[in-house]
Amino acid sequence: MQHRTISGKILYTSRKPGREGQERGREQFTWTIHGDGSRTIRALCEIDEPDPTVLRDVTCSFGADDRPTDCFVRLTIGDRFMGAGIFAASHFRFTDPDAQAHPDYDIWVTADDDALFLNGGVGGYMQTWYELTELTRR
Amino acid sequence: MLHETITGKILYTSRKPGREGEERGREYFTFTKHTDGSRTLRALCEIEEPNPTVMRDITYSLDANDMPTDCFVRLMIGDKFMGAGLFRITEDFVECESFGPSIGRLSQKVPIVGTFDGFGTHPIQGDAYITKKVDKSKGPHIKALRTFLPSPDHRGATPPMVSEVNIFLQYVGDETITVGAGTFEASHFRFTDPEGGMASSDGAHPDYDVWVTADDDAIFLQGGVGGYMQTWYELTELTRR
Repeated sequence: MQHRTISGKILYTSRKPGREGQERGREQFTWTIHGDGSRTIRALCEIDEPDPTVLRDVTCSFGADDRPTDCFVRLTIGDRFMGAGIFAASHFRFTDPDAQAHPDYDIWVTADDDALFLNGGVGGYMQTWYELTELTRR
Repeated sequence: MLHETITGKILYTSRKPGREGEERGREYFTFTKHTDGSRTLRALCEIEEPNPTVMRDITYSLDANDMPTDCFVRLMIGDKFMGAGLFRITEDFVECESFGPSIGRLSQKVPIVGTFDGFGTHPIQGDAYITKKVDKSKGPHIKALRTFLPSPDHRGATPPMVSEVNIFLQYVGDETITVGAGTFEASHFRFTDPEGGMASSDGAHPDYDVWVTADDDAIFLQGGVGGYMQTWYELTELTRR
């Protein structure tokens, strides 16, 4: 394959008094790093303790600039399905090449009909960053 | 954890003349079996040959009756992003929320109308699991399968969207077989496409033989596709915990 692969396992242990070092979960992860600089992590995370147990499936991708592009999450809590969802963003860039006045302005918006701002920033002399921190739909 | 876990690796090799036995891809899979009878399969599939390469991520879940509930698919074709999508399957419809460079942002809700047998996900392990839809107590026979898929392509290499495919699944019989992961009691099945229900530019899907564990887990053991594909697959690693 053209991509590189990194796989590993992370052990979750406790430092609670009387339980020091005891295994309380584990995470299996695999990164793939692609020729265009994008990368994807998929992880299966198991948290045994404290109750309720958590089983999380994540497949999350990033562009060559390490900004997130899409993420799938599926949760099983206490061994019962809690929910699954996908998040997708569209990446746009405002530029001003003729006047060379306004610095490039990158924005990520929800990839749906609402085009809600998610995050973005302006380079050049402005060096600003913006991020959606609250969202309600009703 | 409360669930049981089955992990394994399937090796993809070639049976094309001059390339017999050469590795052409691999699949890593993990099943979790939950106390309510539901299951989730995750698979990372890599097909190196023929070009373009295919890398597929799948997270596919089924209820206690082995009916599909939801499936996430993400595809890299030729090491370039082709698309990602989440499917939700109910008794009445299949929903899809997907996106990709060639399809943009896609929302589908397709009525099922009638009964169906399952969701074809394209990992080899997924092919094996759908054999549970055959009632082996009837002995060797052929069953018509009505399935929905995220891609009708034989390698699953098109952007995620709802497709329907009608094929046939033959129960051939049981036997003991040995593969890289060990010796198992196996059930032998054959997918056939005599009516071209999965026809592509390469024609109908060639016959596809699979051997799966003869238990309730239907773990893929070995199999291969004939015709123009000439592929072979074998379970090389298996862990149950």
